[in-house]
Amino acid sequence: MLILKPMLMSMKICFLIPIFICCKLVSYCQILQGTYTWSEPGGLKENTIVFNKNRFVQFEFNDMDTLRGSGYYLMDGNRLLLIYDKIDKQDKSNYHLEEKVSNQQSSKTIIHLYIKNGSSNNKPIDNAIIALMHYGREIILLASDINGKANFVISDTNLVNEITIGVLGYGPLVIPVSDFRNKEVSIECVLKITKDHFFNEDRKEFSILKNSKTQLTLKLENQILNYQKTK
Amino acid sequence: VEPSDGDLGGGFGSGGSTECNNRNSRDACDLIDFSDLWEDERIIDQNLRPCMQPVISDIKNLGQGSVGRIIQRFAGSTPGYNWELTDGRLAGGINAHTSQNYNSSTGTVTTTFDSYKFTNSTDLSVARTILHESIHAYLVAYFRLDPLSASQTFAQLLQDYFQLQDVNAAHHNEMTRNFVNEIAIALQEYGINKGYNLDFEFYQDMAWAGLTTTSAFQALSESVKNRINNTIQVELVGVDTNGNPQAQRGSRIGC
Repeated sequence: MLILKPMLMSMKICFLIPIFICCKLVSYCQILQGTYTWSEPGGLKENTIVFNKNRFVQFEFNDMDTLRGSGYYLMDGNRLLLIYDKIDKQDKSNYHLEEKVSNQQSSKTIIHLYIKNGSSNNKPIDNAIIALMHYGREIILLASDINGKANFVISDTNLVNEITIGVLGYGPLVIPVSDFRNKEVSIECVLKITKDHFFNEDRKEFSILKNSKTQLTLKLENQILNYQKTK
Repeated sequence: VEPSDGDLGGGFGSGGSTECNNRNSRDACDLIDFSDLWEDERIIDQNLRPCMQPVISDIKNLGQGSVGRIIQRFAGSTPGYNWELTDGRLAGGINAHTSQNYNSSTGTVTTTFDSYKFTNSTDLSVARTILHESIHAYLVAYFRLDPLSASQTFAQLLQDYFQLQDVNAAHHNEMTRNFVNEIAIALQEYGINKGYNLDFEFYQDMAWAGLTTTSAFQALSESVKNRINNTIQVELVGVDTNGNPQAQRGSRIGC
C-alpha cells in the first residue's frame, strides 16, 4: 500500500495535466472572422486585421512606412493573442567581413568600412552614422565619407563592444567587435530600405473590451483601439 | 531649384547664432531673412490640388510659426533641402505620407497628401497635417545631410532608431518630446490669422494628431486622451470618436 499510494498520486497528476491543458485550449477556441480596421483620429495611422479561421493577416499604414505580419491567433472571452509567423523573407541590411592582415599581437583593431546602398544598385552611402557602442551606449559617432567609406582604429576594444551602422530609413546593422578584436578587417555593409517591413514582435496580447458584430475594442497596455468591422 | 546644400544660408546646424540655437529665446533670433526665402524657393507645392494651395500658402506666410522658422529654431540655420509637397492616392486610411528617403540627387524630401481624404476636413486639420509632415521631412533631411549634428540635437531619436528599428516610431517619439508645442504655436498663429478665436488648448490638442499611439500620449489621463482624440477627429471628418456629428471649429477647405 505504501508503494501504491505515491503511484496513484502520480497517475492522478498525469491524468489532470492533460485535462488542464485541454481546458486552456477549449477556452481559447473562440473565433473571429472578417476584416477589422482601426484608424488613428488624425488619419496618419491605420491598422487592419483580417481574421480567417484560426489565422490572421495584419497591415499597418503609417505616415512614413507600412508594416505587415501574419500568423495565428488565440482568443478567449477577454483576451486576444496574436502570434506572428517568423519571417525570414525580409530583405535585411547585412555585412561581409574580411580579415585583411593578421594583427594578433597588436592591441589595436583596425577597421575599414565600406557602406553601400543595397536598395539602389549598391551605390556608396555618404553620411551614414557609425556608432561605436559600449553595451548599448554610443560613445563615439562617426559618419561615412562621400565614397561611403570610414577608416578608424579602436585602441581599447574593452571600451567598444559593438559598431552600429545606420541611415534613418534603412535597417541598422550591429557588428560585434569580438569577431575581429585586435585584427585589421575590411567590412562591406549593405544597408536596405525599411519602408515596408514586418512587425518586430513575436506576439501581442490584447484585452478584449468589446466584441460585437460591428466592433472589436481592444486594449494594448494603456491604449484602447476601436476596430470597426469593415467586411 | 538647385539641390546644392547651403545656398540659402548653409546646411544644418552650422550657421545660426547662439541665441538662434536656443529655441527658447525666439525673440532674440533674427528670423526674417532666410526662412522666408527657403519657404518661397524650396517648398515645392505646384503638384498640390487647388483646394490645398491656400492652406500651404497661409502656412508659408506665418511669422513665428512658419515651417522654416520652426526648423530654424532647432537647426540654427536655414534648411538646406527642398521639401516637395505632392498629391496622390495613399493606401489604407492615411491622408499623408513622407518618404523616409532623402533624394540626394535632387536634395529633396517628398510628402504626398491624399487630398480626397480631406473631403470633410477643415483648414485647421489640413494645416496641422502639413506641419506634422514638415517635421518628418526636416528630420529625414537633417539626419541625411548632417547626421552628426542631428544625432547631437536629437540623441534620443537616434537611440530609438537603433533600438526600435522603426523610423516612424522614432520620429513620433521625438515629436512628443520637442515638437508638439511648436506645432501648437504654429497652428494657433495660423488660426488667429484666419480669424478664429480658440483656446490654446484646442491647438495643443490638434498638435497630438499622428502621435496618439506614442507612450507620451498614452501616459495622459483617459479624459484628456478622449478630448484630444475627439478634437482631432472632428476637425478631420466632422464626427467624434463615437460617430456623432459635431460642429467643426475651422472652415472646410472643399477638397
